[in-house]
Amino acid sequence: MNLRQSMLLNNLFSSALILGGGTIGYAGSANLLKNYLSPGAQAALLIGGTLAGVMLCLLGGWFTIRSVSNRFSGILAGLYESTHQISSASVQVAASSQALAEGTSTAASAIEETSASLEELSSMTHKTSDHSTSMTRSGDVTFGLMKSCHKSLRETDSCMKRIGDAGDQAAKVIKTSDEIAFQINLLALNAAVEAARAGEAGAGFAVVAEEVRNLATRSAEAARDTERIIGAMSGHIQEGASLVSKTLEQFYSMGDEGKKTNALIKEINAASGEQAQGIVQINQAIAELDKVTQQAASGAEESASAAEELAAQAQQMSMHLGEVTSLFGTSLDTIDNRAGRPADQGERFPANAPEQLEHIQTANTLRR
Amino acid sequence: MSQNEHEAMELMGKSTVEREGKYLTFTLHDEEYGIGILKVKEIIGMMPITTVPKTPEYVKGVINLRGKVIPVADLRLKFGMDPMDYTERTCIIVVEISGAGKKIHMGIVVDSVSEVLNIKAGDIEDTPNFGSRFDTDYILGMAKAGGGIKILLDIDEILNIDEIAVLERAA
Repeated sequence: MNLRQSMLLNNLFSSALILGGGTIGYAGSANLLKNYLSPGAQAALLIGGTLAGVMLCLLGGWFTIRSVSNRFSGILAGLYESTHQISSASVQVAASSQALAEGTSTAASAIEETSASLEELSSMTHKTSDHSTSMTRSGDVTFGLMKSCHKSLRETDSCMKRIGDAGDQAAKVIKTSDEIAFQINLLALNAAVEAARAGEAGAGFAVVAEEVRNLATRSAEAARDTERIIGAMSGHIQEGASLVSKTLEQFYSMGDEGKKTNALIKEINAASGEQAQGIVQINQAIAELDKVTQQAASGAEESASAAEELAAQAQQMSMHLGEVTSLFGTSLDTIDNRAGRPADQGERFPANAPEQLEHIQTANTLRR
Repeated sequence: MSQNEHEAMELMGKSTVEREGKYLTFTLHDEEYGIGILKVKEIIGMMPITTVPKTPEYVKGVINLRGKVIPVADLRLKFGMDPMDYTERTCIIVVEISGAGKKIHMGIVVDSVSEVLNIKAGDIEDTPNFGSRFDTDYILGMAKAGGGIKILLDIDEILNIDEIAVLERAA
């Protein structure tokens, strides 16, 4: 049975009593005593009956009030308990909000540091990327230079071959002149033989033949010298040609290595580009994280202030409850007793709750 | 005049007056030799030699010298030296060999021809005695020239005219 029904029942009961008393008094005086009693006695009886009804009515009201008061005491105790719970819960919420706010601030500073490091990393990656790009460019330039160098080397090679051919031709010419010298020598000898056969008459001719022979000998010597020089030159040319060939070979292998290096540089370039892109993505993620952390921090602050508000409201409510309690004439002690908690053992309201709230509030202000 | 005196006179004549004169020198196996210039008809470079069968090994064959067929002998082979491939320096000396009342022309192959030298009688020495078993008749003497020695050859002795006659017939 709830309070409302109980009160209604009480009212009905007392009204019935009053009506009953009045009716009985009136009926008695009207029907029974009409004949026996004087009108004064009848009036007195009517008043008495009415008074008795009123008395009965008051008695009923007292009972009603008493029962209602008892019920209110129970309700107040429950309310008080709830207020107490709310108050302590709000303190807890405030504390955890503070912890959350501290955590988010730590996270925010860590994120800031990470962001700075990332900035550095990003700039370094950019630098690396730039370097690798310019390296690729210079690699290409080197490759082009190597190509033209290779062409020059090939031209040198063919030039050396031409020089060698010219040397061979010169050697042939020298050989011919040597042969001519030999033939002249033979002719001179034959002339000397003829001069000798001519006896005294050929003496002058013999001298001429001797001179011709000397010339032929000198010519042959000159041819031999030239041949020797050309031979040495030919040797040098061959040496040069073989050196050029060797250089060409080495150049080929160098070209292969250069190609490999170029490919590697290009790979490095692509990788550093990807790296830079990845860092950009990481940066975006960090920014997102920062935003979320900021939101979390503001949420924590809001929840801390809400907890404060909640605690204040709980205090207010507790005050109002005290007023209501005093209205009903029931002390909080009895309420505590009724709530099943000894008043001297449990704290009615967390005594340090306002202080805690104050502390949390200061911390929040400081953090801001 | 006794036999001995005649021989002595002959020797004297050979050693002094006859041996003095101009010689054509040539090389053979790095040694210098000389032939009396009046024996030499002509000096020619190497030319194609037509081999003739059934001839001694030293006879290389015959050449066509301006329409004249002349037998050619290799002096290295005649002297029992190692044969050598002919080079552009190799020459044929055409000599006139006399004997038995006739003169024939013959070519001799030498390594190379050097020069015509006038050798004084004082520079010519007799051939040393190598022992009686060795025939040195083909050597006229040893000519001292320029610190070295040139062996002067008697070409008539070297190329026996009878052998040449056989060759002539073959040619």
